[in-house]
Amino acid sequence: MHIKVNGKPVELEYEMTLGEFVQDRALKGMFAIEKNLKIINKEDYSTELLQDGDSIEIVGFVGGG
Amino acid sequence: MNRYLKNNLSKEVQERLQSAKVLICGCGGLGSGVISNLAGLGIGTLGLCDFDKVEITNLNRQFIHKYENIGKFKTESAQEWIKSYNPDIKIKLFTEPVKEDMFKDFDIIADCTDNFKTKFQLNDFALNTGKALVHAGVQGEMGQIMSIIPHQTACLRCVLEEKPEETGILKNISPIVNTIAAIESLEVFKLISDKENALLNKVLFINFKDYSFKTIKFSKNPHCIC
Repeated sequence: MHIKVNGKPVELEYEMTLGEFVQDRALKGMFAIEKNLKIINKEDYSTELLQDGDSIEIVGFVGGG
Repeated sequence: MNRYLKNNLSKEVQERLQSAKVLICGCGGLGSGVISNLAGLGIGTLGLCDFDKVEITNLNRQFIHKYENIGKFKTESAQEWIKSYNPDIKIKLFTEPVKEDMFKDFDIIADCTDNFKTKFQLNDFALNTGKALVHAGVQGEMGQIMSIIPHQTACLRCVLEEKPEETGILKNISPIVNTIAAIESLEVFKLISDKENALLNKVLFINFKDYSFKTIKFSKNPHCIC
């Protein structure tokens, strides 16, 4: 299954939810995820299934000032 | 009003700036840039909140603080700069940690703090008091800005989950910090003069490494406390 992550092609070995993807990638820090140009609420990560051709954008927030 | 001639704004907008009251939480990296930009625009009242003192390591990017002010409270140092630059501006100092009660005398709050714990706190104070908040963060080569009209537009908690913060010293150079501060100041200006084009329900992310600007739309999260 092929998806795009921040514009780059990524191959996923098996079907997974966005929550599993976040765990798999060990994403840390403050971030939000847009899937196919729609922001996914963090409460929905565990049910949001990634599908072939999906495009996700991970945007990191920084806390400095 | 000759001072603001080159702003080239309508009399009505310039008067709105003059009557606006903006509380700047944090008088460090972002705060220094926001203070100078808002003083230049002609904001009538500036509140300055910070409990830190000026250190020599601040001087690479915090241009309103002078070398001879090392050791002084940043609020007092910033006040000194404002008075020397634009004596017409009314100033209120809060040399202590930010409290919700401080918001009551202001129209807009500018988040210039340097950690997520305080950023979430400001978000919650804004929700409780109904005051508009301009959020900004900058670290390394990244920065983001968003504006929040409490209970009407997405807040920080709509888009982010509060987690323990990872700490570390990253590159903190003046062109990056001051660019984010300039856009944060522009957001304050837009909330006063041109709200429809402000960063409401959207966040502007800037990656200075490759100069990419990305605006992502958010909406109020139905699970959020706001």
